[in-house]
Amino acid sequence: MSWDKVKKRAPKFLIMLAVLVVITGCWSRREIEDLGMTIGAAVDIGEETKIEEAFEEQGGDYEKRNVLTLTYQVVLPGQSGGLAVTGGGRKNYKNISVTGDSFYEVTREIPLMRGRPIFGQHYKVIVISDKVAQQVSMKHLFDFFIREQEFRPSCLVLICKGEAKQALDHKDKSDFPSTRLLAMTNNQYRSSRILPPVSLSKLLPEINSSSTFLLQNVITADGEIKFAGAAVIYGKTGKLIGFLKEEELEAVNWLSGKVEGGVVKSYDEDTGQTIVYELTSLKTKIRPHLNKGRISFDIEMDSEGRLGERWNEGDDFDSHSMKQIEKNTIRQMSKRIDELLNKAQKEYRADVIGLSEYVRIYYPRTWEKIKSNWDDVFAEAEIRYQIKAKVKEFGTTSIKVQE
Amino acid sequence: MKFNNQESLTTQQTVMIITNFILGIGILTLPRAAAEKVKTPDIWLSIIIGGLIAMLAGVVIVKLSQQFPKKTFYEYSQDILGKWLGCLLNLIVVGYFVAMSSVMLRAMAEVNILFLLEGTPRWAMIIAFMWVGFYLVIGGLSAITRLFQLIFPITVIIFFMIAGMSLKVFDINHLRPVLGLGLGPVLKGVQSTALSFGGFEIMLFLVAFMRDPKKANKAVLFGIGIPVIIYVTTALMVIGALSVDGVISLTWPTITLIKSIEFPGIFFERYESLLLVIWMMEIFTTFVITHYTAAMGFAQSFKKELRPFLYFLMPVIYIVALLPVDINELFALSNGVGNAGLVLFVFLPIVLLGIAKLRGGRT
Repeated sequence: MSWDKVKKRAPKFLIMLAVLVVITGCWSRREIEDLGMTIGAAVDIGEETKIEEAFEEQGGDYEKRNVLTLTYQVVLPGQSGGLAVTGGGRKNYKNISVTGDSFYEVTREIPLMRGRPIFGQHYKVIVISDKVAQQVSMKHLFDFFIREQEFRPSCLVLICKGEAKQALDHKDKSDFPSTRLLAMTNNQYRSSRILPPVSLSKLLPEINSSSTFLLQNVITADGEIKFAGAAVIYGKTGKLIGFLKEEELEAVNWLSGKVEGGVVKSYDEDTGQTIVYELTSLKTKIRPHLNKGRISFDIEMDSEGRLGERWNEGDDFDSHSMKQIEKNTIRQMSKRIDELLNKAQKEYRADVIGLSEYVRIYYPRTWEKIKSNWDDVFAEAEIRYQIKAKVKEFGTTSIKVQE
Repeated sequence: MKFNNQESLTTQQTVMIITNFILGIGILTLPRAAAEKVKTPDIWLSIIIGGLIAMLAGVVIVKLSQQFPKKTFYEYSQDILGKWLGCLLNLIVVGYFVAMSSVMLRAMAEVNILFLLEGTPRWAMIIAFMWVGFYLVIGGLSAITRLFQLIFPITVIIFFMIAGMSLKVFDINHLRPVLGLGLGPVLKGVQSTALSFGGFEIMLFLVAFMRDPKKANKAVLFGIGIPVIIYVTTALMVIGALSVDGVISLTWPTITLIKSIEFPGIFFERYESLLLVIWMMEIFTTFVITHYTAAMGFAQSFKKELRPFLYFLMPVIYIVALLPVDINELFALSNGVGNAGLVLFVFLPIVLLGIAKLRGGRT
């Protein structure tokens, strides 16, 4: 290139450079350290914390009725590596509680108290106290969480019997309470007493169609948590009407076929000794029938599994003995399913199994007529079921004590 | 004319232009728009029927254009309807393209504000977008076509990758029963799905530039066929994951779908930005082609140079884009434009073809 050309192009080049410097950048950038990375939320009945009361005495008050207390779990920056076990057992998270009437407003009270406002892109769980769920319809409770674009629809929803913020505060400091809750829902392959996770995106259609559904229930004691059954949210009101115990929840999972693994313990008919059958797969076929306006269901459950543990006498190498175990297991499952159906149809009169979907699929026109009344139709419906259990194997050893 | 020094288009390039034009806002909103009307999981059937209608209309348009070789709609409208009436029709068509162009810009800005750039003002995004578009448009039809050829494969690859991912939350029961309530609901949805195929009307202008105008029919069928496949896939995955009851209340259902899937541990955990990228590119292509076609309308009606009109239209498009006060007005405008397109490019071409045949018979 000749010098002339260079001279000619230089101004253009300089302008381009200037443009690069001036124009690039992020318009409304926020440094990651300045974000209040929030990973969980808990909703309780409005009860002000001591700090809030103290604030209000000094005039930090605004017009509100204290309907709800919202607790955010915020990750403390600088201390939260992957495992984040800090030497002295210091917490790597902080729970911030605010009380007020609407989720949005109380969320925006946090910037008045902390340098890092709530940043919601990394929400893992929302825990709702059962007392709130009994009083407030899901429609109102989740309006904010579903509407706000910062919340990801993959965020998980749980119910906590008792105070929900307890579920976000663990004694064990080895991991974040929110991520632990999330991890526990992934344990379905080991226990069938866990409800398939309900995320915000799955909650929405249930709320929209006012159908009855279940939410995983968490209980707390002394800084520890446990998944214990499920909460029943009644379709018409959208409020919590009761709970299913963990064994009843398991029966629901059997009926709906949402089982990845789990155990069925039964007692031997004659000796009363314990037998444990491990479910490795369960396939369910649900077929609704419509007969003269009456709905009934045939449910076939086909399970395969292995012998997990047996205390009664018997030779595992003998297939007759295996049949005995299968029989015991089926009897046990039937008993539990009967108990559940009784509770669902007589006590709650609510379709906790999700059978409505099959009526919608098989009898769409009838469904249009009965859908507004479905839970009552369900309560009167006859539900027949059939269980098959097959012990495929019994592990490496069968103990044989010589007499 | 200014347009004769352009390279002519191959059939494949024509297909690219039609496809890129049609794909636009629909990827994000079609599932809701259709589900609102249909209310059963059968919306994918409505989309197929909508696509067939668009194909039919496309074929009529091609027939019409083939009557006037080497002439675009703006030129032959005056041949058919006479100078003044033709000119008026041209202006209406230009208005349509300007409105469509504005809708694209505004939708782009709205989605950006909600999901990507919370604090950036709408004007900043729109102006940046427009200048990039303008840079392409002054390169003429061949530059536009080349870019479309680049964008298309990227769109398809990313789109089907995302569709595959959504299988993670897919539940076939959400798509059952098929035709449970009969064809009635499906037909109710056809109007809104047909709207989402707006874009095939570009054949009114493209046939004139085609190297082989005889293959125009094939081009329009493929050009609409590809979007049909993409839209049906979108509908299947969105309904399959979120169910009809969920989709009806989502502003941008496809984004919500992608946001409800997470893949911890794989390179990226979240993929909505990928979807937004391809969507933005599709919006860009639609914006560019509408801007170009609108300016072409002025240039050919008044037999003037193209470039001044390209400049002139920029502020016009910008102002129209900022007219809708809120998002519901934007959706209303978008619907209005679609309905206008239905009249202009489904019914009118039949009438024009009739007149042209009658006149052609006389001379």
